[in-house]
Amino acid sequence: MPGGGVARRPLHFIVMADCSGSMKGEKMQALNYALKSMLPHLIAWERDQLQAQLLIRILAFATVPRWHVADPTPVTDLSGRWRDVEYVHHGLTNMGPAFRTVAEVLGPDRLERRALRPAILLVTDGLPTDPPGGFELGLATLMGSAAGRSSLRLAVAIGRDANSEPLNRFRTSDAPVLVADSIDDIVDRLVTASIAVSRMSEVGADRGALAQQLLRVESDRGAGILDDTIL
Amino acid sequence: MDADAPPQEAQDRSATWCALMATERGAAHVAVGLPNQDAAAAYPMEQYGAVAAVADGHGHHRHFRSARGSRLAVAVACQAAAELTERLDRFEAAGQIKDEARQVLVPAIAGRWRTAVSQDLAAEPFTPEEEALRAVGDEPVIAYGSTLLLAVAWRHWLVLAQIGDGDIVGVRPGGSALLPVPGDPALDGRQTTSLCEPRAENAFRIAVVDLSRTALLAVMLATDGYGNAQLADPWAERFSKDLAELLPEHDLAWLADQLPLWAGRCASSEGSADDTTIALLLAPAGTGSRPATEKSTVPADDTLRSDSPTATLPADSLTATLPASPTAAPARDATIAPPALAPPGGRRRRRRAAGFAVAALVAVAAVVGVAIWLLSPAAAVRASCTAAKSPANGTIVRGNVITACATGTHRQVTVPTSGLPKGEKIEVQGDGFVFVLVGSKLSWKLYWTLASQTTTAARWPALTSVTGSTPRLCRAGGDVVVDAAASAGKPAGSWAQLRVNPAKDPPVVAGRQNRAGPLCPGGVAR
Repeated sequence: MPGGGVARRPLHFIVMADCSGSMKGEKMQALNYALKSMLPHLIAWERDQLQAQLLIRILAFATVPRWHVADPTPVTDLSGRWRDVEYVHHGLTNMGPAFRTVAEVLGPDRLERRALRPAILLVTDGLPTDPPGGFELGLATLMGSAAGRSSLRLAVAIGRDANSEPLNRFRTSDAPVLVADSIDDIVDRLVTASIAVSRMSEVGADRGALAQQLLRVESDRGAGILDDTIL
Repeated sequence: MDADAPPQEAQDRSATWCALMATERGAAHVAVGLPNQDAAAAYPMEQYGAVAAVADGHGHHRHFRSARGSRLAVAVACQAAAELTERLDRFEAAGQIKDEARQVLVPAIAGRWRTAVSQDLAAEPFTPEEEALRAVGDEPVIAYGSTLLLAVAWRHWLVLAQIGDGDIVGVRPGGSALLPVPGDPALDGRQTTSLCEPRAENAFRIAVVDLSRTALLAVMLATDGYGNAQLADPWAERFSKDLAELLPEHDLAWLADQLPLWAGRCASSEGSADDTTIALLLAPAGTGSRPATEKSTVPADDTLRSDSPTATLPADSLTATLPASPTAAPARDATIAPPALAPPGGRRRRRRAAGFAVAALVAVAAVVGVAIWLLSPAAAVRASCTAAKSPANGTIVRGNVITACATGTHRQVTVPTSGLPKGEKIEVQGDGFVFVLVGSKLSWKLYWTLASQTTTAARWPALTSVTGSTPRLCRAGGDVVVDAAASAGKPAGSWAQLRVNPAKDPPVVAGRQNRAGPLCPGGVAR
């Protein structure tokens, strides 16, 4: 057929992993275990659904962000060559620069026009430590791009104290912050988040209903961003 | 020399526009039991042009009647486009036509679509299940949300109008792509503008191309299921180059076979998995018999964008494009639009004298052509779109892709219902009308009058007594026969399109050929 070959639509899934100093020890081990535990679920979803090819990136952020997995990587490839993320000694939890780094790769010149709305999962154990205005500037940059604005944004807070107002400003309205009260909860919350990311990213998905089903939240029908609908 | 310049030979050549279309239900829709929410309509306009429209009903549950919305959209768009061609000869510049499209065509489409939606809703109010799907505060029209892409080729003008996502790609003789419709920054690939939004007419994007300066081999209209499946990014240039190479090497039959394959590939789980619909308008110079080489006759940088000034062809040069006869076209998997929609009333009178001369040529050509056709082993699978006054064939191909074509002063389309699964929903859609048959219940609508009626199978014969402007539907044996001879206001130019909307997985009745024949005697209103 004219035009060359065909392919599934890319679904970019970006994990923003808090690697600040406070993540040292069991939390970091649990986070790595949880991230690895997500992959089989994502592989299964990619196999079963018909719309998307899942491409994962991981951003490790502390005082400054750095890509742990910089290129969009098929989930099966990532599973085959997994490397643990590592905490940064005395690293802060600066989210603003991390948001800006994510915004860069979601720019219109970086993202395929046919890509599905991207998904961003933020995992953190604390409040942002940005200098004044830093968090807001970073979040505004992310939300300034069409892809960033329309992205599905979920957050997992490790510990009740991490479930903060800034995370509520980051997350998509129909996806509440998932709280891991204990180390053991981290795996469960990340797996839940990964399932929610994948299911809610499907074209035509009833995100409100899925949020209720998967995330156990009350959600008004039609309250969230609607896919494939009018502006 | 500009490879994309209009070849002199093409301008002098007698030929006509052809229209092909194909649609395929997306794999993701099949998986969750959603219907094909795309729609398409296309047909040539007399000898001078063609009209095509595709529409993509939104997939979100909020737009739960979008499949109807897209069908209404292509119906009203083609009707309004046909009316536009009545006025196009008054204009000399692209800017004037663009103004006409902005001020008359687009408001007509948007307004009539809303009216048609209201009529549909009045005839069939939301069920309790549908009410439950409505978002708080949604107007009813939201349920019918759809995009629309429209192309009108008339003499040396190409008028394009688009709301929402999807692609309109012009293929230039040298293989470069022409993307005349301005982009819309609001379309980010994840959301789309829609006919169902308030003041939808403001969201239309319009372009006018002077084909005498910017030659095109073809124009493709595609719903976003096509573009979203393309690996190349951007893909239009590659598509255009490939198609420009294919067109000189293949005839219309080959293209008609290929189009559903292209749509199917895109709609599969290897592609976008979304409903995919393609309408391909082939310019007189774009058919297989045309030489592949071109000569430049205009300045190199003459690509005409929507706001560019244009030159106007002198009247004499327009007459040089008169075709010798309608193009024969086998109708199999792709829908081949019926040739020669009648010209609007006033123009018909003006061209009567020229028509007689052309008719004489057509008659000679038809006699020779029919003789060859009858001797051909492939005659059994060819749709009888070749000769005037012949009845039409329709071919059910796959799912809700139905072929129908007709020609001449009346047309009949026969749908053999006996072989279809029980409970099948059959729609016979035509130039402003649609018949819907579900079980023994039959309903029909006329979109231009917005009349709507429902009856049962037992009362069908009463339909045959309908006279005047109503297309007739009658029953003969196990078949449903539509005789669109008396369709309102267009007695010589009706067309019909058959559509089967299965409740679940579409039955594949590939290759099945409907019987042709004047089952409604004489094809005239009784």
